[in-house]
Amino acid sequence: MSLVIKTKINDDENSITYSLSGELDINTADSLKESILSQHKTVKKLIFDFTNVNFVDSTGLGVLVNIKKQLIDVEVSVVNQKDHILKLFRITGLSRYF
Amino acid sequence: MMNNKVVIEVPRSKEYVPVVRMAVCAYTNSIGVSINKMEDIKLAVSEACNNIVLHSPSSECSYTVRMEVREEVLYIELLDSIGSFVLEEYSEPNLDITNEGGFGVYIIRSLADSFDVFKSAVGQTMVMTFSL
Repeated sequence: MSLVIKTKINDDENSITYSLSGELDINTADSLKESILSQHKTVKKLIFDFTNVNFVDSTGLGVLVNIKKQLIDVEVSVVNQKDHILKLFRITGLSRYF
Repeated sequence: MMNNKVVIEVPRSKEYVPVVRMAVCAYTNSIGVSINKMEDIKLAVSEACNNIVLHSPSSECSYTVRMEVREEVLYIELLDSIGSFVLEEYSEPNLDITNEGGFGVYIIRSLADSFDVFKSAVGQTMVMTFSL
């Protein structure tokens, strides 16, 4: 299983939406991190749309945390998680930050 | 209950962790586990696999995953001949944004009914259980 990342610069030009499809796991987490941090432009907000994400593990969570910590002045949010992924964010306490 | 044990041997590299997940999905589906429970089990097992391949990766070796239902309890065991993880040295992570790692065992403990690691002469066995 792979992770596909689609990038959309939103009309306000202050935010980017990354629509992810697939699994964010030990095999794909690093590619997400590299992709986001290399593509990142000066925007105020990054939105990760998880509508088509079927699986997230602790390495995936770790990369999201790393991105958030590196982009200090950027608001990072995760939207449209499936219930079982939302549960993961809740049990790790990370739902408070995304 | 009839014999329902499934045993798979998996190369000790991260590329094969999704294969274990697929096997867990197929097995839990075959024994009638709900979708929500299946997602919990899949994630917990995946974290245990991550633990094995991250702590001492070696594509030359393999580890074994056993799944079995006994008396309405699903037992999943991961047998690892190298086994460098010491549960006693594990401390739970702070649940805040300062952590980028260390969630694996915490997640397993949150999702499974029990989780233990046993050492033996042939390596290490992680055992997790899920009531059905």
